[in-house]
Amino acid sequence: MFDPYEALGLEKTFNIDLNALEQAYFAAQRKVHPDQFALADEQKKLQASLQATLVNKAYVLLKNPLDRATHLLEARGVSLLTHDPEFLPKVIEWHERTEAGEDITSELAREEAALLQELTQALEHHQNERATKALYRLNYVQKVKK
Amino acid sequence: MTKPILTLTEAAAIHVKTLLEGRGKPSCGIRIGLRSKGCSGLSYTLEFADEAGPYDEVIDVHDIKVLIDPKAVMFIMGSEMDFVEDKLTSGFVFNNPNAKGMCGCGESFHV
Amino acid sequence: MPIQLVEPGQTSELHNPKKGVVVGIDLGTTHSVVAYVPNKIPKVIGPLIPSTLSLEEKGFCVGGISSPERLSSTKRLMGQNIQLKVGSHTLTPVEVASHILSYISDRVEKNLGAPLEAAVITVPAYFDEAARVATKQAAALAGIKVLRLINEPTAAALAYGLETGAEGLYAIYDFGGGTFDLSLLKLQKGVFQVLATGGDLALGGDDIDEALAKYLNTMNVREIKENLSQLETYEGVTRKDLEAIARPFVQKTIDITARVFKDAGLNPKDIQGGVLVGGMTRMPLVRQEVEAFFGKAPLCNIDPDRAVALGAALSAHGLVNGSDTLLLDVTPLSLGLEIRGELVEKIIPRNTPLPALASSEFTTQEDGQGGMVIHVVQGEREFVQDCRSLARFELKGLPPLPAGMARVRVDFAVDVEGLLTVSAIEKTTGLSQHVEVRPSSGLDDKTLADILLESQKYGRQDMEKRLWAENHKH
Repeated sequence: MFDPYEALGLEKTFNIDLNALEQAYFAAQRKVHPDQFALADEQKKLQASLQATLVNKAYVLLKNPLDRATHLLEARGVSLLTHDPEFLPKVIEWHERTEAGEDITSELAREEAALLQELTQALEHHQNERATKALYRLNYVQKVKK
Repeated sequence: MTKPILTLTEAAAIHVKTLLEGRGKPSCGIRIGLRSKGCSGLSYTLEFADEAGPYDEVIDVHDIKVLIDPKAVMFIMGSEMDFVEDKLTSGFVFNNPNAKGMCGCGESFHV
Repeated sequence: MPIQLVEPGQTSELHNPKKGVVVGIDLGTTHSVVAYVPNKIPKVIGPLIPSTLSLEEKGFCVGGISSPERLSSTKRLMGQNIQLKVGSHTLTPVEVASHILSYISDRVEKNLGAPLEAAVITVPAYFDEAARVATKQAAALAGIKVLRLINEPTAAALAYGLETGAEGLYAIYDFGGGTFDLSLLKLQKGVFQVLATGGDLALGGDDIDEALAKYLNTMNVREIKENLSQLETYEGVTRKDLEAIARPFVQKTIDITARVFKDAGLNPKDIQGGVLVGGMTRMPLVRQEVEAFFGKAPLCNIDPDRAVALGAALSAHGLVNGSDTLLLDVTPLSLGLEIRGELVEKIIPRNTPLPALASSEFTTQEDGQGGMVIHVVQGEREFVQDCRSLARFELKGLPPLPAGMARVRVDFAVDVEGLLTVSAIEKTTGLSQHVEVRPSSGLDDKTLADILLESQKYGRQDMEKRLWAENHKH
């Protein structure tokens, strides 16, 4: 399974310092970016392209907290939640209020922040069920925001 | 689907290999270049190659490494290199579908 | 007369004893520029070259501005399969570009006494696949080896960053003769990272000229437009008249700029400033609007006409001599597949860092279905008809299986130049079968390429190796 943390030489934690992530990304690209191999033979160019692609993939994944969480859970062998009946009434309520013309952006932002906290703690304490629930809800909130 | 830049006839391949073997020093392959000459403008050049220039196009034909000067690539695209001999002369020729005009002396072409 | 195989250097007149030069070329809509790096500082070689082609007695002539029968501003036609008429000849946009490049090649040799060996050529960030490939074809026709293509705003950022040593978030606002590009970059010691980019290939000074010409009912508007940058009135036309004409076009650039900021999740106040590139940025109205949007005066400390070529030269120099500078660019347009007859499924979203790879899996609809059509498009719209068609190919030779059993994986790889290679594998029965197609552009968009899945030929060879090998064989 693709390991973005390994690709960038980072410790496997949910909480990531975004600056450290970026520096690790740049450092990794310096070694493999195709431009460094502009005059090399085809084999080397090919290798470079593949590795640079993986480094990019790792960076994009780790930059997004939800993708990061998804990866950590999948790596632990935890299956993700596909539905959450407890959460449904809230989602319906949001839709109704939006249709009625209400602006719920600040409320959604608060909900998102709370869920992110929940997710962080759950992952830290290896409480997988709690984590998958928080992740599912966060994904939903993001969809509603759009 | 990419069209082959250059093909070699059996005769051309055999003669190139013989010449490479008889050269007496290690070669990377052969190098095709372009120069202006003759009434019609351009003609090909053929040299032993000691090493590939950084900008050369490199192709492998009949187990021979053929390096092509970038200036020649587009002109040579789709050509066939052959070896001819008659009573007076022998050597390599390029049958080039791109050549729109051949001058009388057969020395040069223009595109 | 047959040619002899001789020792290197024996061919008379062939090898120029001086080593060749590596350059950067800005193939602009109205002007082209070539530059190189002699002593760590990039320098332009000669004056700006009008991107025009006319037919004179002696043959094709580049850079003339007097002949009424001349081709100009053909850049925005790159990638299109059309014939342009000049005199009794017809040329494709690729051929026009190749003439300009040949002219540039000659100029380099004349001015520097050394042949042009290789170049980095710039393209608008918003150029699609077809236009990029067309640019490379034009270079091949001119006998120029292309080290790589780079995006114009990125090149300008490189010139700006290396000259000023600037660090932080910057916007490159590139408003030229034919195209508009806006790129947001992060500049850091030795790193130029594009965060998001956007643009319009049909938005440039030429469009404003056209609108002005209609309004004034005259042809020679460029001079009027240029003079009104310095003067309040010129030949009976006031600056206010011009601004009224130009405003909607300038507003479009601001709208695009706003969208790029949104894509990047940034606000104008988050950035150090906007760097102006391109001739149109000389217009006072443009500067006003840019300043209003960014909330601070735009940065004009680089030459708007030459920055792109200087950046390209720096890139070329770096590629050949090794460099500490990292250029991280993104794809400007989303890549997608046609599904269910008319919808687009996005496979690689815009602003994805390059190089990138994405896969999609397909299966068959009917029992024993022997083939399937795969249609790759580029664009942001939901419907196929509103996007640019890149390649449409039919996979044949699928193994006879019940419906839904075949597993066809299609891989999309976009390289650092923004060029796409599509490859497909059918993975049932454990046998790796794969085929590749390189979108052939400059030709009919609707060309159907029939590709036969060949089982034995490629064996168990790594599919990715083939994909990239083909990708780099020009």
